[in-house]
Amino acid sequence: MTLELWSSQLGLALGIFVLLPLRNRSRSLQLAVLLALLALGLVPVQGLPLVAYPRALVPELSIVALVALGWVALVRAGLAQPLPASQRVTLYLLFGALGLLLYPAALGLGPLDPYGWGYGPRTMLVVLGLLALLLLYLGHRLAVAMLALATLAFALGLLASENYWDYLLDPLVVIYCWLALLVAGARRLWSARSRPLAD
Amino acid sequence: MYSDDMGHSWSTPRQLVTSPFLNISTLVRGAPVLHADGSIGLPVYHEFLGKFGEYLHLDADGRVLAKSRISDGRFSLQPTVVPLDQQRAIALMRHTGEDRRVLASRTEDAGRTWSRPEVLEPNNPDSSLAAIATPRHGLLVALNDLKEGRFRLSLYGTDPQLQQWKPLLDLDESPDEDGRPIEESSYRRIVAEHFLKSSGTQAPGRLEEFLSSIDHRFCSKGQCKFTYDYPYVIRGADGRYHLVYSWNHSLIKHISFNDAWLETQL
Repeated sequence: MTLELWSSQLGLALGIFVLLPLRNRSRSLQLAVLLALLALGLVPVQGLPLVAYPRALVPELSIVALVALGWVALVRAGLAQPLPASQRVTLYLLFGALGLLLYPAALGLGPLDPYGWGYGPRTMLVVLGLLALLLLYLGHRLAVAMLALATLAFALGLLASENYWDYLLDPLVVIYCWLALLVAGARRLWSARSRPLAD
Repeated sequence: MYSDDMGHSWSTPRQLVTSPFLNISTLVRGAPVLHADGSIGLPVYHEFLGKFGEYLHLDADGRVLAKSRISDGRFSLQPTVVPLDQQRAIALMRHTGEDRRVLASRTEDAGRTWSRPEVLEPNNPDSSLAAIATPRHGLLVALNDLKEGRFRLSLYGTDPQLQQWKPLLDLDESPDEDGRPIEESSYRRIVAEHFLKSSGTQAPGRLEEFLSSIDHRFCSKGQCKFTYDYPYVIRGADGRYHLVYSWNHSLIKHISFNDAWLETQL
């Protein structure tokens, strides 16, 4: 049971960890807090580990979401540098666009069901492999790591789902990307408007 | 989860992930189809922002191999799939749109792709239906062939082209043939009679408790109406057909028959 809940356990611990105000605390304290959060999910409550209760309500996070949370946790702990803005926008565009391709159609808009492609994803693997090569060439290493780890986890069947899409995307990732793009767009518009006109 | 001992014990349940949005709203109504290679076809439907039928293809261990759309949009639900041979099958669906008639879609590649749904002759008042193949290579269909309401549940026979529909039997119908509400006292008497007939020797002692728990959505201002819906049909290993349906949302009615009886009706 506990092994099947690994992704929920990790996602919940990382999610709480990045929300806690620990930015200026020592690394050892941050590590201790993270380990304590991981252990907290294992605490048995009425015969089930604590993490099983939120898992009953919310499906597993995608591998991409776990890698993103892991990256943010590393940045918070001072073990990694924040991504440059251009690389962040690339991530938002990549996963935001994949979400736009997937969700409206999967929820019934039109006869195509892209979610069905994820059960035998040979074409998807080829397309995303080529995309990963392009991103590698452009130096977007975190995006490449996300795609590679998601594909590896799919090959090993590490989540409950047998669908490749569920390793790449979840609503949290897609909504975050869409909101981040909206905010970035609004900021850009605002700064363009507030720039003084040339004489 | 599965049982190898006629339901006395069950394996540990395993989640099927069939929808990308929080895995919500993949619902099952129809009977599964067993493929020749041991895999399983499961007619399901999605009812969230859209309403459409789907066909899940599972391996013998219950892992999802593929999923295909039977329909799309917001107007079709609860497919019941009848295999005609190893490649061809028909899916009949409940119609939730304006054109209240039974919908049908076909596959000729064992459920990988389905034709655009077509509207058939029988009425469908936005209610579920059930179908099964007959020895004459036709279909046996249980449905409410009504424009409104579910006050009559009927059994029809039809050919694989779904062109000729023959009414075989009204399985149940309201005391008022047009489905108009009846007095609550009469309603309670009829419900009580069915309960006493269906619930064994302990029934009399539990009658008042049962009557107080029956679904009162069907009564208003001392007038009550009858509803017979959600049919489900299978054929047992001994060849007998078993048809169950909801009797006024109060009882589940079970009707069993064999090919000999069916031959006399077709």
